[in-house]
Amino acid sequence: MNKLKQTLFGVDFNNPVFSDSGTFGYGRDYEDFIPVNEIGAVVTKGTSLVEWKGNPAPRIYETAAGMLNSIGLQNPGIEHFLLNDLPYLIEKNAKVILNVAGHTAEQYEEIVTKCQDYTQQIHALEINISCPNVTEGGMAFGTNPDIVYELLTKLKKVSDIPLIAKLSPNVTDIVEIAKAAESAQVDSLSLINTLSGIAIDIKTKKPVLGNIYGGLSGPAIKPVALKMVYQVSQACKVPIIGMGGIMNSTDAIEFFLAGASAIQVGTAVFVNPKVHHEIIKGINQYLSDNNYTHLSDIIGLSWKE
Amino acid sequence: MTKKMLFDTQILTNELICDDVYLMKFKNEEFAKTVRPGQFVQVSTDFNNQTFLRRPISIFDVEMENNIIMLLYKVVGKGTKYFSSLKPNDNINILGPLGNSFSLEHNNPLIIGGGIGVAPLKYLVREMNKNNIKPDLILGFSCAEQAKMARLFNDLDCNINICTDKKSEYFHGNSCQLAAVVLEDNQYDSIYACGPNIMLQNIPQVSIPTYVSLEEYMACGVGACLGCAVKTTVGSYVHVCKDGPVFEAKGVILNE
Ligand SMILES: Cc1cc2nc3c(=O)[nH]c(=O)nc-3n(C[C@H](O)[C@H](O)[C@H](O)COP(=O)(O)OP(=O)(O)OC[C@H]3O[C@@H](n4cnc5c(N)ncnc54)[C@H](O)[C@@H]3O)c2cc1C
Ligand SMILES: Cc1cc2nc3c(=O)[nH]c(=O)nc-3n(C[C@H](O)[C@H](O)[C@H](O)COP(=O)(O)O)c2cc1C
Ligand code: FES
Repeated sequence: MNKLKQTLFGVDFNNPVFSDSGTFGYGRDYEDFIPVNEIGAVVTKGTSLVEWKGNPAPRIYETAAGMLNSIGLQNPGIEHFLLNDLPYLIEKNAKVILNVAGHTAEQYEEIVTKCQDYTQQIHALEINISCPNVTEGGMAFGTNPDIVYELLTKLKKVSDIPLIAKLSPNVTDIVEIAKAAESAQVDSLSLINTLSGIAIDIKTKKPVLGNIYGGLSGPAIKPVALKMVYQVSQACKVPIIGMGGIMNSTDAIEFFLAGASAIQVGTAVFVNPKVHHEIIKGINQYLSDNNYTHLSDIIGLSWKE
Repeated sequence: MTKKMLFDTQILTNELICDDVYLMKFKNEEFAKTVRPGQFVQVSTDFNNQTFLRRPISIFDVEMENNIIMLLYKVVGKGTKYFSSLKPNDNINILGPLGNSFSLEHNNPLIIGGGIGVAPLKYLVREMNKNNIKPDLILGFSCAEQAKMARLFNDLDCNINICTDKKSEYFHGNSCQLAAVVLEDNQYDSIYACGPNIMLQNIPQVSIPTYVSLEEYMACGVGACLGCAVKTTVGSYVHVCKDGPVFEAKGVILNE
């Protein structure tokens, strides 16, 4: 029996280990190492209505146990995705989660509407209301519960494809935001996006990144991410997709114990392009070693009675 | 595109060439057979060393008979310091070959390298030699000690002109100044260059195709993260790891 099979919002995933948005492109870049049908789902780069060019260089900088990025959601736009990338993902039998980015509520709505012709091919839409690297939209939508509720309600009305709201950690109370999203009837929550940060070059005495600020990801943010999953999964009923600094199967298991029903792995793939396989294997091993029959037996065990 | 590989390999040698520059060798048959000049690898670093992202290093040379791959690198920070601490038989993990490669379609090229930027040029010259092309090289360094790197090119069929910023036995000046002199006396059909950005910006403007090999900070090295962006003259961004590292100079903005 497949101990890792997960059914979330009506979709069957072979395993709960997904790529995360922005670290896996549209699935082709790592095809020599990870066939896209072998991970639970491909979560695409944040995709907007038209092409976005992204931020000036430098866009990435390594920090202690983490990295800052300020890509600025460079992407070729939704039409390009539907025409060039979706067919590849369909042909390769991938489960597809499209990460959606917009500057305005109307842009989000238009993208979600355009996707409705693909209800069988796009398995979920992950609404990115948490990108710290764009000046308009992105995180501005995700930090106020009223705006979160309003935007997601609007999108939910036009979508037959399940919606996942991707939450920002750059808020005072993530539980409040999570509840606002849940009350807008979204099907799932994913957390966390990157933490906003900066690096300064002591030689030039100026910020390193072209965009000045960047988003911190990698092992450095894991305890923060884990805590937010631990809190939100207790406060909400919808399934939680956890991410942030997952480097190996031990990290992944911590997220399941904290209450995640699936996980996404991002920064780790830069270090080890085969990390998804190793995590899948490690979770299976853990379940066997501890005599669990299915992944669902361990979800939220850290807080369940 | 060449198929990317991911493998652990034992270091054969890791020897000091001069100052802070090392030559590392490892062996891999499939890799040696597929890698093209201008390509690079992403070398694993050590988490215990406060680094975790891989570091991009060019292919310096390939010894076909023995399937030996060579990397020439300069210690500039934590990652490269860690590389220099490795001993024969220590393991490293290699992701590659990555990126595009130098065009081999020109017959009379001028090749310009500055400092550690000479790294991707040796294997380029070796492949040119296979096509019976014997290029002129300008190798510029800060000082005579750094210029010891140029000795590593002695087994190739090419004319090497060395210059140094500090006064030495060589031409006194930077590689672009020497290039200007050489370009006056010769008819070339192309220029290939790798070195610090400031050098690439100052390559004499000529009407022949000019190829530059660029550097940017990298995370993935395979085109997935869109981190290693360089602006093009039409205002879009290309990525050094996938669209490069070799670009036609006229298409990219070197001082965004
Ligand atoms: C395609 C490509 C090929 C390369 N080939 C070689 C090579 O053959 N030999 C070699 O010695 N070096 C090469 N480099 C540069 C090398 O990758 C960097 O020197 C190395 O990553 C620095 O790591 P570090 O941890 O030692 O230094 P860090 O602690 O990360 O940084 C030290 C200094 O190096 C600068 N730096 C760091 N990374 C880069 C980078 N990617 N590009 C430019 N500057 C950087 C920083 O600004 C800082 O001033 C190449 C880079 C690229 C992109
Ligand atoms: C280079 C890079 C690009 C990213 N791009 C996006 C994006 O387009 N949309 C999005 O929702 N999140 C984006 N993220 C955030 C990740 O999806 C993820 O939430 C975060 O990196 C934490 O996970 P990790 O530590 O496993 O990388 C990006 C992260 C990185 C490192
Ligand atoms: S380093 Fe990720 S796209 Fe180039």
